Amino acid sequence: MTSFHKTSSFHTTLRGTKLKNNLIYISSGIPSLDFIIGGGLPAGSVFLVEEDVLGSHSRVLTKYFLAEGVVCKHDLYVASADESPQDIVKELPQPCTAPNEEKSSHDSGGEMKIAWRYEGLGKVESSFGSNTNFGHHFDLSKHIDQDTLQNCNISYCHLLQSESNIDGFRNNLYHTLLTKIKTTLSKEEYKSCSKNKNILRISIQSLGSPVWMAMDCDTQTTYGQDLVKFLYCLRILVRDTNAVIFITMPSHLFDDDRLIDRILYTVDNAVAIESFTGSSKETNPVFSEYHGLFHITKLSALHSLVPFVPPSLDLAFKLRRKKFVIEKLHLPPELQESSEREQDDITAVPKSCGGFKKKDIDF
Amino acid sequence: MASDILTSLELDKEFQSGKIIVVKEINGCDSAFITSCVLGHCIKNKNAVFVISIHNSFLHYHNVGLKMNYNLQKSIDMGLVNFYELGKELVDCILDFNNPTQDLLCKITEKINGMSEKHGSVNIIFDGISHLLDLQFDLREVNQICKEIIDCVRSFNNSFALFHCIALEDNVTNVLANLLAHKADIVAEVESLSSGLSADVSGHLTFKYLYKKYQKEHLQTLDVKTFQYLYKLFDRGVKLLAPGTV
Repeated sequence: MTSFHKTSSFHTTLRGTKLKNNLIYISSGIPSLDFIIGGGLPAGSVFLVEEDVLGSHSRVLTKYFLAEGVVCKHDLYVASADESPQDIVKELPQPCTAPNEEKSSHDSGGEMKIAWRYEGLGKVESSFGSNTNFGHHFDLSKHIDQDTLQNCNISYCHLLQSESNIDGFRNNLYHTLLTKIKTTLSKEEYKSCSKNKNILRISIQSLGSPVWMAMDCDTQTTYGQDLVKFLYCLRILVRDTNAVIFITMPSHLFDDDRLIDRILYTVDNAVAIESFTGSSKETNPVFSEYHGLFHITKLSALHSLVPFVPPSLDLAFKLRRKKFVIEKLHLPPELQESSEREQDDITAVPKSCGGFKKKDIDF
Repeated sequence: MASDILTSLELDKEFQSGKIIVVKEINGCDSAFITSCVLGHCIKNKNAVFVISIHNSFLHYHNVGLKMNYNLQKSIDMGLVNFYELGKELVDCILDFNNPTQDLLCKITEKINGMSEKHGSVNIIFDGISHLLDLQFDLREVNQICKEIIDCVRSFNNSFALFHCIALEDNVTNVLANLLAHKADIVAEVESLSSGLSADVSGHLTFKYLYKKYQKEHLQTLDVKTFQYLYKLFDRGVKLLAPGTV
């Protein structure tokens, strides 16, 4: 019997998914993020978000991920050791229709004719994913109501540290979470070959925070060992299932800067958020239009030889009142702020030719 | 489109005893394409392969193989390829509070011996050996496993062992990579572009033929010449390019 068989019709019955390289992809909830990481989050993979310093923007990404799951009727699993998972789910952004404000601003320009020499050039695309039909748009100023949430299959895992010692991990939180995720993933609907399948979106908030790393602070030689081991186990557990794991990690709190390199080897895809809040870049006029930089730190080639190459690595994000957008970073035009006229520049005209003006004299 | 890789690794030639090839991943670059090329070569030439996979899954290699015109599942069904997903077994051990280091070496050598009885010689591919350090195998244990595999391969005629490892700076993974490179006949260093990502070039690939150090013509030279290429990944293969010819 041949191993060649068409699987596309089997996989596309799942709502909110698409098929690429014989692998199911789901939306992160942010069309621009889907676009820059290759079309979405592949099923059976681990996606890592390195948190910004205050963690506020990474929390927004988590909310988008979970909100997309609610809209697509996927199952959710929310785990956290720092805060109550129920609090994370309380304020998920409400879905809305695709925004039209960009189109209306173009229309209001009137009939403007571009110079003929530039007509053949391609249009500069700063925003990503605006024309896609995959994923949904959300309004951050409004929240999904509690009734809708109660109709969803959401599992919560609030991890609390205990004194008991677990073999294999110094901190029992790791083993507890792994065991719970393994039990959840063993359900029939999350297996890739299941007939009545559904997607499971697993969110782990602030993995690697001081609660997780407390036991490692005594020693330098095994610092982060449990975390790397945990991530590898997670990678293996979720592989070949219909689950996607979305992890946020405060890597800026790690004692060892080299730990993140080992973590990146273990996860499938990773991004890092660098917020301008509290840094010198906040007042830098170069970044006046943006709230931070968005770095793509790893993109794996899953079921393919060729990894996705994003259109640009110079990315920045804006957190507007209603939405979070990732754009190509554009530097503003170089305009002198001084209103001094050229003829008032005393250095341009020599003194002998009457270059000095009355106002330039100090006395 | 894997001939460039196979020629560079000298797998298109016959060799008397086992050959040890080490692939080092530098700067977070992925070298799974080399395994896919080598697997395709072995399946095409009907050479038995034992794949120990810790980093990538069977489905990944199978899907890539279909694009590269070979069927990994069919080869496994025929007994030509034994795909051992060691990662799953180790994770199950950890979650069941068992020590994963025990019996691992016995299992591996048992499988190799089983295949060699059927096929004569066995080629071995070990993907993601650096993960053993993540799973708290110490360097001594990993070295012991590598040594046993190398000894097995050297006892066969015309076979090879291919190890994939990462080399992170100031890290025990770098020590393991150097350890393996020291034992290797050929070292392939896969490195991503320092300037970022490019649609034209996927990365740098450097080959070091360390076995040539002991050949008569190289006895007087301190370092053997390395061969540096750029490589570009396509859907169905890999192409090597000389620097400056992109």
